[in-house]
Amino acid sequence: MSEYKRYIDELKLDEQFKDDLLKKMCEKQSVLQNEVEPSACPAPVRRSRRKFLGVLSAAACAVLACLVIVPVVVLTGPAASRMDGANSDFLAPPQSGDGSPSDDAQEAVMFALGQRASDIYGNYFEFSSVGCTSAVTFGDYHYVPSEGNVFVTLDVALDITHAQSDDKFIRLSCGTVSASYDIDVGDGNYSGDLVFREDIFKEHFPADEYGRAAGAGTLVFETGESFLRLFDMYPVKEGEIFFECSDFRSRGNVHSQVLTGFELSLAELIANN
Amino acid sequence: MDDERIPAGVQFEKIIARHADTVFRVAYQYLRNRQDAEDVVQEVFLSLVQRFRQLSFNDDEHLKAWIIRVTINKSINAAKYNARRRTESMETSVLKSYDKSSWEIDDVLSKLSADDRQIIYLHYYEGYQAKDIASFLNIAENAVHKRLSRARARLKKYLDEGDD
Repeated sequence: MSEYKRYIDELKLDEQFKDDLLKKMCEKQSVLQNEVEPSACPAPVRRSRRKFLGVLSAAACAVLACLVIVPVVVLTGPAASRMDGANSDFLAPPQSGDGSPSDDAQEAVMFALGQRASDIYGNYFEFSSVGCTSAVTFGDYHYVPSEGNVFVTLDVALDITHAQSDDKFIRLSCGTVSASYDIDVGDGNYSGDLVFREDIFKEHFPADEYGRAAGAGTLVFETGESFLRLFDMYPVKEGEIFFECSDFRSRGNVHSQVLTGFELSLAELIANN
Repeated sequence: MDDERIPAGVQFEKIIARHADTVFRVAYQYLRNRQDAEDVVQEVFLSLVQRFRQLSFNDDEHLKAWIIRVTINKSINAAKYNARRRTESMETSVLKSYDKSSWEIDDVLSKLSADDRQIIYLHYYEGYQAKDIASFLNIAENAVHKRLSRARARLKKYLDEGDD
């Protein structure tokens, strides 16, 4: 057994606490149902003259069960968290407590290759494939990385032309885009940073003075040559490349995802091969 | 699962025996305090009594999943409430042993986010897969994969190969 499991085994309740808990549960059950449950309840209970009403309320509860349970399942099931590439609904942020949104939510959201990341203003990214190469060419422009480096390319459809609540636009730059990989390979771990080639983006996706850009093309990152060996050994499959769009913002009880940039992360290549 | 012929008290005793420690551990990942975690345990099981006849579970695993979801929600609420109160816990640690490894692990875990601790616990101890954990925490399955990868790196020393 691992040390972690031994550590968790130590986290447990006292038997006295459990006994007290059982007493409280039985007491509450008696209050709710007005029935006698003598077998495992340590304290004596009284039969109630209101047993008929207890049976009636139980029947009513059974009738209401479908109305109570189904909506809860729908709201909390994994299907509620999935993006539909055909529409621009955004992924709901993690919710706390009894289901009401948290005013303090600042959770980054993950999207896989092939999924669309969008916000309420109509801005979106959708990455369709990833590649690793020693040079890229866009029309008349030919780019090579620094010696000892390679390019990592992401084919993308994007639209960042929509102003956000502060009347500003997303500007893709080294300040708003980051990328890294952290992959376990056998007993080893390969990790590193990828530098966003902002210059290539600006030339390939000409943005206006506000940073607005839209269309389909390729984002280019630069990283060390060792990444190519890893990439060749374990080609990335759809769904294995994750990127985060950060910065949930809340306005009162309304929570919305606002795209301010993204972090690209390549993970779990080996686990999926 | 919910057999009307078995007295509720007997059923409660079985449920406590099977799931109370799990609830405590789930709550502890958020609260990091025995007393607060025990308070959540009590809330969860009294909540179960409240809804016992309304809910119908196919099997024990179904019940366990419901309990875990409720525990997570109540723990998050409690953590936010405790943060606002800013009171100091009377207890310094929930660990009762002086095993050095346990203290080291607890220290490493204390530096992770509550969600990361929860993901680690649900996967490596309870054996849930990413899809189920995503459902419990209401986050994307991809996020679970990424966090597990990071957690594996940090806790590698304390995990057996068979835990992966």
